[in-house]
Amino acid sequence: MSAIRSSFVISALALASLAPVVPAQDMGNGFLFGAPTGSFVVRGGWAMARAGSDLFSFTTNQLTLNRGDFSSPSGDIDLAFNVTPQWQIVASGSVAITNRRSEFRHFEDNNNLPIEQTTSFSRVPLTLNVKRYLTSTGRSIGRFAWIPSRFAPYVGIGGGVMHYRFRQSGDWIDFKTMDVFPSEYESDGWAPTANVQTGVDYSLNARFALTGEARYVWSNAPLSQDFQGFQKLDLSGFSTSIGVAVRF
Amino acid sequence: MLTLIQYSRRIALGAVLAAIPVAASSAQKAEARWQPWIGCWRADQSPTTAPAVCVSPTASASAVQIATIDSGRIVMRDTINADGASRHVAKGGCTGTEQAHFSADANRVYLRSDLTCAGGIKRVGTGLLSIAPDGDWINVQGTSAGGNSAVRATRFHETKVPASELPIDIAMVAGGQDLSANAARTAAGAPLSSAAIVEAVKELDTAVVQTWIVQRGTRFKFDANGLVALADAGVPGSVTDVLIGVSYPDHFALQERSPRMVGGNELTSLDSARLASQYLNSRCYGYGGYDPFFGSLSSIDPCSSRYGLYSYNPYRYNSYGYSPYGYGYGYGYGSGYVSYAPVVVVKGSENPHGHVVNGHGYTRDSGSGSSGSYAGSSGSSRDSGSGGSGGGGSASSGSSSSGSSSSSGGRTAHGKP
Repeated sequence: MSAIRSSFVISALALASLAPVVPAQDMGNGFLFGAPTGSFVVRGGWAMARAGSDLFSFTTNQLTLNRGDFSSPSGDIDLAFNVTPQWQIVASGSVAITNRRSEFRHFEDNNNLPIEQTTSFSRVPLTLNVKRYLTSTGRSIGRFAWIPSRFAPYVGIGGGVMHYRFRQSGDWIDFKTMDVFPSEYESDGWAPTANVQTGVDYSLNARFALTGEARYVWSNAPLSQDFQGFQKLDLSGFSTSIGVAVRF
Repeated sequence: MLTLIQYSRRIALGAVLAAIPVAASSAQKAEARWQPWIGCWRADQSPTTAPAVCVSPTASASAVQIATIDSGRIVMRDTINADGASRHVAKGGCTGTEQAHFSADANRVYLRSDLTCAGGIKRVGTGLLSIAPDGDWINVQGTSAGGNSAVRATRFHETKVPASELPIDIAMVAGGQDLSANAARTAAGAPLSSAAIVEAVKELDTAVVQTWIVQRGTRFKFDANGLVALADAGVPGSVTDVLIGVSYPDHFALQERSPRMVGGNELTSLDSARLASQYLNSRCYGYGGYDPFFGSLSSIDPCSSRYGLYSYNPYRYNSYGYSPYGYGYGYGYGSGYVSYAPVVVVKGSENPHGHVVNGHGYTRDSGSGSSGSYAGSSGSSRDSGSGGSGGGGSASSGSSSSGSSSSSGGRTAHGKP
């Protein structure tokens, strides 16, 4: 878990550290003194895991979990640079971590107590995206005035890598002997990912905008030796988020 | 000590003033819209000995006379009739029309001339008489010919000229209404509305509007919606740039491209304007000699730019200030400085960075027009031998870039003895 957090923190810091590189854009009454160079976006939302591979099926069959338990809140940051007034290159980072306690659905121990365990599932995609605004993002008047459009819908596509971790720890049953024993199983690593997204920016003023986005992510990853005989782990899912964009 | 002539003149003036004030005021009474300008003025920063410019009514209510007066003698005289009528003019080898009219709010006078000069050169002049918030008279005039343009701006302060130093006809009508004139100037210097800017853009060259906004020297209050409204009304971005520039002085600076920046090895648009002006200048001289009525200047005199740009102006007394093109400060109506529209820059970027070139030394920014002026690369054997600022001993003598640093008349360097 610490590795995931570390990777996300590092990614976030790396992205955030790029923002001050761009000189701050001063603003007038409702306008910036020039078209923005880009934007920094922080969003929060919900990342629904598709959980479509057989490991999830097995888990939900055996344990008191359902597929929805692999979904979780998410945090996203984007650092976008304008290539043209309507095209952006966006470096994105996101993190979605779930941690669920469970017990065997169909078994308990010899003291009639539940056989409990914890399942955690995390996904941290780091992607580079191309974003296309479908309408004008704003209007430049002269060289020193840029007035944002109130609404600016967009679509995007991107790809990158995703760090994932699937970890289960607690008490388990050896179905051959029905012994209950403590153990943990873990698979983590990096996997390629692709995503599409659509969203809309709603300008609060020249500097700040509310932004909402829906994104679908495709990814799957081979499991470690702790999980044998399973398909690749399904890391895909749909996410929605809202946040604040700061233009610079 | 008064000379006999001066004494006699004062007596005569007093007699005339006492005898016919009523008759004069009825015969020469400008309409109220001219009231802010009626009186005598001197160009900004000029000494009290400089010629005065006096605006006085004429027999036509819509017209005023503008006279430049030096030592009691009218050295330039001009009439502006703001009735909006287009008048045919033929002067100095150019023919065409001129026209003047008040703005909708009556706070400004727009001037325009459309002339065709010898050789088929089209010359369009637009100008503006306005009153600044502090009561100064701002006179901005632009001339376009051959795709190039130049702008002249002059700021006048009200001045008191003793009646004894004024020609009689002007002394009778140019003064004596201080309170009324001040009130009229205060009203005429009211903050500009968006409509006024839109109107000015439609009436004037963009560069004239830009210069006028700068000359007013006041901030404008506007928001994003106001900017959009201006843009939608046809106000070009170069004008809104200046509006923003003067309204946010903490973030922007206004730069005049100094004449010194024009020239060098690089042929810029300014050079093109200069060359065109030289051409016009030579043509105008060929046809008309000098014309003291540059005052009404671009609206009347098709060759007026020669005074502003290159020629000797016989009435630019005691001009001071450096100007390689001869259009530095002067005091007559129509004098002033010539510029090429103000340039708004983000503060901190006013001073361009130069370069340090190994083997050559220090250079200015290439865009300054002084490219190649490597310090220390003069052809002077004394300097070149020193290599003091060259940064490399190989700075050659006899460099083709020599001399550019010493031709400005400004601060120079030389080798230590």
